Amino acid sequence: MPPLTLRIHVLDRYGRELRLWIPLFLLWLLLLPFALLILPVLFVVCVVIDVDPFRGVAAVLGVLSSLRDSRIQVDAAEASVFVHVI
Amino acid sequence: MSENRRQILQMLSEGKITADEAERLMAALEKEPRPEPLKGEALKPRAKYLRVLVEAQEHGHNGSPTKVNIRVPMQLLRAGVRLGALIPREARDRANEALREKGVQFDLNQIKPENLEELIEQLNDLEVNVDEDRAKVRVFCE
Repeated sequence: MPPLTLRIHVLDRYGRELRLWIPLFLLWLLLLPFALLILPVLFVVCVVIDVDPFRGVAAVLGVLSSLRDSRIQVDAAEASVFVHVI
Repeated sequence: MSENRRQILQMLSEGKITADEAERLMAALEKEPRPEPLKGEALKPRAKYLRVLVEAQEHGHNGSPTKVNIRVPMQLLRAGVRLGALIPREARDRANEALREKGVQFDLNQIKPENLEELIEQLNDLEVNVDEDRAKVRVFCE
């Protein structure tokens, strides 16, 4: 399953805090019609470059799904940033 | 490859046994139960994440060093290698050529999804520690 939420936490050096919960599932829903439109083009491109389109789509979906539970935290002098893919 | 399999193949190559006999011996080997791990030889849990920790010695206004802490799921590495296997052969050949020009003798065509698990398993024991004046970098699996 692709990631459903992106959690971002930013804390700057003045102590100002920003907490964001980005609902990625809404983004996927918005992108779905575009994906359906692009699918035939993608299929043709895959055939031209000699790549199995089904394996290609499966691999891209696999990368998206595997992004879940990734975390990036940067603590710098200017600000601290924490990103968590849920 | 187990020692028994190696011996069977050795005997086959030396002509001591026929191909049919070798096949029967291999089949018999597969039926044998796998040896239990020895006492105290606990199975190492599979790593779930690749961690990258960087601590730069650049102090900012508040005097604290810059730190980077990244946790990447191993599943993402698997998916990445699978995606890499889809790169068209022409592109892989060009990448191989570029690697060779840089002195890296590595063939990207050799990375196949079937070897993936073995590749990831080997990463379990990976640990990279770089300790320099400007930064400390640590890469490991957990």
